[in-house]
Amino acid sequence: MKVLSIILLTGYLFVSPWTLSASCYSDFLVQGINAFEKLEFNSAIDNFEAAKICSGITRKQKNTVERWLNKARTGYIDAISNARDEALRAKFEAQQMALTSEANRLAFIAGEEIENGNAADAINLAYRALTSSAGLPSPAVSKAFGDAVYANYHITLSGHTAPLIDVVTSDDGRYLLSLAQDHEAILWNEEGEELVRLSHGKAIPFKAYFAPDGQTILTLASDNVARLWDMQGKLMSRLAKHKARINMARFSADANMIVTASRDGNIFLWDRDGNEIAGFDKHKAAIKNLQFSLIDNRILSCDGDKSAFLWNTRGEMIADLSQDVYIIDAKYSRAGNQILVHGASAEARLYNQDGNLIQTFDTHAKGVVSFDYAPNQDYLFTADLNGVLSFWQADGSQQQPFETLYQGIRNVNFSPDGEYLVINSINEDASLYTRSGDRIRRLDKHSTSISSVEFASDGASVLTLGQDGTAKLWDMSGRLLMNVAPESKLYSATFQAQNNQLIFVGEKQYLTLCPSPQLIIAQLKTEPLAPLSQEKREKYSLETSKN
Amino acid sequence: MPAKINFRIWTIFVLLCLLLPLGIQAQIVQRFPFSLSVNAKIDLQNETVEMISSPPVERENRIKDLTLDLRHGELIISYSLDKSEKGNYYDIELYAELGGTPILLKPGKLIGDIGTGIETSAVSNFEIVWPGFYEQFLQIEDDFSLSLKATYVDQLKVAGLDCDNPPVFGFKQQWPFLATLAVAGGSIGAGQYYKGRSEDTYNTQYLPAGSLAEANPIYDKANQEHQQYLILTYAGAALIAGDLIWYVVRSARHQKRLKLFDEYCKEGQALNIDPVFSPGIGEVSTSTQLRLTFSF
Repeated sequence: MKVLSIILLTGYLFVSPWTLSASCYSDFLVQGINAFEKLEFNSAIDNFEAAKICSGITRKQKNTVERWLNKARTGYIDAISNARDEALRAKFEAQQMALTSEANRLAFIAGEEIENGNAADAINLAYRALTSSAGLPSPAVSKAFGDAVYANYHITLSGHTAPLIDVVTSDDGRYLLSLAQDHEAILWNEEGEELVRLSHGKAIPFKAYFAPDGQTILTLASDNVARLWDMQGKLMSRLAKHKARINMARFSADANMIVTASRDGNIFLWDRDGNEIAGFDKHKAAIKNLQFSLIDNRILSCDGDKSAFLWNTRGEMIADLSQDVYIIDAKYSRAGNQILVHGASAEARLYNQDGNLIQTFDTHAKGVVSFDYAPNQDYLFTADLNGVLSFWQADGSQQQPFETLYQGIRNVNFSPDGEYLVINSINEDASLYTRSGDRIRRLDKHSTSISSVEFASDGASVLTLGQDGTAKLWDMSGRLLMNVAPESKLYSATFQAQNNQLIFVGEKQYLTLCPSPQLIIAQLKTEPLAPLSQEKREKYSLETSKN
Repeated sequence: MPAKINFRIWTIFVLLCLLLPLGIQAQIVQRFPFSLSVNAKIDLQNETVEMISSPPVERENRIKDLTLDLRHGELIISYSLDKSEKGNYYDIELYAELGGTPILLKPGKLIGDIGTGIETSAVSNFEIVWPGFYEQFLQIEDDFSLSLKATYVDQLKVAGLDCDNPPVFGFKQQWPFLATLAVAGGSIGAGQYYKGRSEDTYNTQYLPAGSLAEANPIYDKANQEHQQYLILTYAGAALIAGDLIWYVVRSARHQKRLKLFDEYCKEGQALNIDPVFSPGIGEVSTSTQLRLTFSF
């Protein structure tokens, strides 16, 4: 009897509603949780709903199911939202890719049209590519637009009958002076119109300077004579005391005095009428650097024989800044109250305006190639032949240097705001860096080393000239904006002051002016190009492209 | 009276006739280029130049002793040339490479004895300076190669003379002038014939004509003959004038060539130049050039 009761009780427990309800609840709960973890929220909700109505579940179990149910519903909504966002994102990216792809296609066609000599269509296509690009234009689009700008907008200034030697621009950017082997210098305005010709007889002018007041031009010629001209082309005076080739000349800040220096080490100071004020006779080698102080008209000179001197305007030496090693440069700071000297040794030296040594900066390198104040900053920098760029306070303390990857630095160029710099290496290419030392990009499109680097005055682009005779324009992200590779090799590539027009001098008898792409973009916003004809739109498959 | 001819038109016609006999004669001017190259290892820090190799100077090469030196941060290129005869000169070009890559040299960059018109009648040692050499390179690890090209310009050849064939101005050279003179004379003579005919027509046929209708055609005929007389006479005169000028100029040219010949070729001074061209680095132009001159 007792055994039978136990059997009956056990059997009842197995089949009793309590047992059945416990199984129902746990089964549906477990299935719901599994489905939830697999993010199958619909299934999870169904299971939880089923668990909820299992008979005999306790209040605690009910609460548990409710919590899971809420989670499942919330998750369901979140999943739908995420899926929708994902879909929208994918759609947007697809649209961007389509735009980029179309922009690249237009850029490619623009490049082909340039090669075919169809510059007018090329600029139209390239501009469409630029404006239809999603976000920042791709490098291909930027370059195609720059090349189309050159093809359409460059002008050549022809007037010389022999190859050019050099071109000089005035500080305000309003004038250009070209010098050529035809014994003439030609003054042009910024629109490229010839204003006057400065004839030098049988001598060849090879260097020129605009006075700071913009009223006078000084030319140096192969007959060892410096000539002063007014802006109407009238010869005002001849400075004819040198017996050797005049290397360089400088105007004083007020343009009332001129200092000239020659290869035999002689320096003369003149007034504007061509009268000699003083002679300086301590140098014995060719003068390589010459500068007027902005503050007190003192003169700083340096030659190739390790000598550097500071002079007053009476021809008296104030200070001897000579070194034991070859001096690469001796110059005034931008403020004009200090003198910086560096050369083929580890030390760079800082002097005050009286020529007294303030501080030496030991770079521990084979030589210091650049030494100056960083623009808009109160600290100095040195660049050396070990490939290190160092930053210093005037008291000699050194900030964290940044090591370039180069074996040696050729020169360093800062942007006008000091936030970017281009480091040009000795035997490789150049790189664009931020001031904090992050390398943005290698400027590696030249096939040879880079011979000159120049930032635009607005700091938005940088122009490089390679030994391969080509010039390239880059933006501040290191992308190539324009590739200038004319049929003749270029000797000089520079910006015209203020307006950032590009000036190129090559092997030919003309010089080339070209606006920068940024100038043209600004111009096209207000003066759009004429639209392409229907026939051309069909030819270039522009019907489906979107602006 | 017969109508006057348009003098301006006939002046132009005569000038064109004068130009016809002018020949454009092409002269081949021989310019003899010589070239010499050197390779060097340059240590800018210690201002030393070590010459690695330079080919032996061939006996016929007019460039001797090409050497490099560093001084005050500048590269000094010294060379010497064979003495040349007075009036002749060299055109000097320089090509440089660093590690096999050509160095672009801006016009006017190099100073000294470079370019055209380098005379060696008085001196034979020369120097070219490359200023700013140190700053341009700062550190040279590759081999530096330099090639000097000297193109010898022979005045005699410029004038188109040959010492074996002295210039002559005999009948063979003068017959065109004589022929032109004969043609001019013939033209004037023909003009006189037409003049006679015109006067004859006018006097014997026009004046005795009975009526205006009869006289007018005769007058036209006489007028036409008169015009032909004028044309032929003026053409003949112009040909004589042009021929005279042509002869004077040609004669003066002959005198100049004779003078050059006497200067260079008399008493065994005949030049015997064998062109030797050693291909160097960089761009080297061809050894002959074409020059156009007017000869008359």
